Amino acid sequence: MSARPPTSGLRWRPAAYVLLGAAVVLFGVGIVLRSPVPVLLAFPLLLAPLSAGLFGPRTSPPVRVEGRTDGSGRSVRVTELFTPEPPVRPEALEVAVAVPPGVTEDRPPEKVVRDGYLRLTLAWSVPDPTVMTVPAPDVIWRDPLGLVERRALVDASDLFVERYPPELHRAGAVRLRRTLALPGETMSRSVGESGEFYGIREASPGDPPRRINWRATARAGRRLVNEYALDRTGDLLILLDTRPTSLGPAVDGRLLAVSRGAAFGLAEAFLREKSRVGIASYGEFLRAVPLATGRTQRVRLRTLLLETTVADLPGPAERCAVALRRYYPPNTTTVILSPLASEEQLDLVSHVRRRGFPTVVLSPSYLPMMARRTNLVEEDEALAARFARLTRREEVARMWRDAPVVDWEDYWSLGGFVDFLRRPAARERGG
Amino acid sequence: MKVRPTAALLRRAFGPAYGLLVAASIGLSVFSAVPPIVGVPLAVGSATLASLLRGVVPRHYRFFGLLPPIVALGILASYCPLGTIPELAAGLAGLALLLWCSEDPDRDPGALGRGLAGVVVPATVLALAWVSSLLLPSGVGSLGIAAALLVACVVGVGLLLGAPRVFDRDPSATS
Repeated sequence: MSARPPTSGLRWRPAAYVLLGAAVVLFGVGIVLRSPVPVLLAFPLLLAPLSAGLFGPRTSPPVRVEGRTDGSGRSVRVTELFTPEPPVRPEALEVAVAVPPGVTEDRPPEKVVRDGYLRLTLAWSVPDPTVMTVPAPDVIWRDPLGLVERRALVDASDLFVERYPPELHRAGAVRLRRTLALPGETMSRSVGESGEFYGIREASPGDPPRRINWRATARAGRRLVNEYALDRTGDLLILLDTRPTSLGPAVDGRLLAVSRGAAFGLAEAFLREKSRVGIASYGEFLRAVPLATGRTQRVRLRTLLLETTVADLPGPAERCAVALRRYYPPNTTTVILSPLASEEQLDLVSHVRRRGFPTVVLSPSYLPMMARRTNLVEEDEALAARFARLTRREEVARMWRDAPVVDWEDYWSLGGFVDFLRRPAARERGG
Repeated sequence: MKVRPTAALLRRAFGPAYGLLVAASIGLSVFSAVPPIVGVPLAVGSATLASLLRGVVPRHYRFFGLLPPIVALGILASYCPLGTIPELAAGLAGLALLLWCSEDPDRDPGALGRGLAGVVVPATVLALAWVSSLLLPSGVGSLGIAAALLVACVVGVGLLLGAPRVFDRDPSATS
């Protein structure tokens, strides 16, 4: 729940100033002309703002806000219900939600007033995968004439937008490197082909014969197969490189937003399988959430990701590698999310690997974000793009000496990365 | 969010309150000494200009739309002869202007109905003042009352604008 802000006082709107000023002038005109007609005209103009202030709510009216976010892929639909406490009517509320940076508004907010509540529907599009908070709504009570207003006390839960490539849902099935002394002690939530006996179900056409429970089949008279609860196999560390690069703050920020989305998707996939997941971000210093599992850990990880921004100064790669050992045991499977856009970022992988973390690099490419140069003709532009692509390929190829790298250009698809993780032989090159 | 002068926005800007304002302004112009050839276009034009301004300009500058009808009504009222009916017409024009304020293009349909609640107090006080004017002798007496009201309202407005917290009430310990 967000903290209740202090109550705010009554605010005069510009129309109230105009009316009050006009009333004073009309009174003056009436006296000068010795005519009561302007005075009678001035009466309503003078009294309306004062009565609006006196007969409206005397403190900030409390408004309960319940919201949810829907949609899939790029589309985000935010629905919020505003319920004011009587006698304030929902028609008297003016609500506004700021559009977060980088998000585009598909259509203007839709406002519907029903019995006792106001429903606001927002339709947004996110260009890239991301994790972000929906800004708290700004709710203002306004008198029927629109002359005075008061900020409402909003009681709202935080709303989050979590968008990442759908293939990451499959990532949780990846068998992680064992880091536990007794790896079988914690059961996964997944039911699979090996591990502790879980139950019996009806056989389906794809089930192998060795999983058929013949005794149960004979008793029931139909084919039944065994199911097993998979063991939790290991831990996952996700490291975000948030150091600034020569690409500039705008591109760095957008790349970080994409990395945040991927990091959250990965974390969620493995947490669902009861694996322990930790996330660290490294800018100038390391910020880490140690390994753990469960819903609380999901909240911790999301909080860290939401607080992560591009650092002002780049820290040395060695510092990150040393600091990682304070929080995480060696041999933890590590996914580094780094655009690999500077020498410092290229160095980080080898340092982390040397400290005993088997590493896979998922590198959101900066090429789709590079702005077209307007001073170039089309041929030169194509040539420049080709050079940039070759440079990128060279950087990625250089990184393969230290660890496997997955170049991520289509931000809404991570099928290649998930398939790569599911091939242990290829992944072990990072070990 | 940018506000563009769409047809829907203009339709809402020219609602029933616009008609009320036009009617009240024309009513005042009928009693005014301003010739009808000037008074009626002034009344209609000011109301139309006000609604157009409110439908077209960005939300933060909509209050400028109040200026044309205020100026027009002020001119018409200044040229009105003394009498209870012109006084009533002026008061009603003021109320119509307030109702026009309630019909903001961004507000939900039915704003005029809700705006009626906002003019109850001004209308009651206006009615009292108008009835009193029937009983009071016209001339220096009413002028004195107006002068006292002017001083009181200038002082009151100054105080209230400087300290809008006068309208606040501390939340109770149990709220």
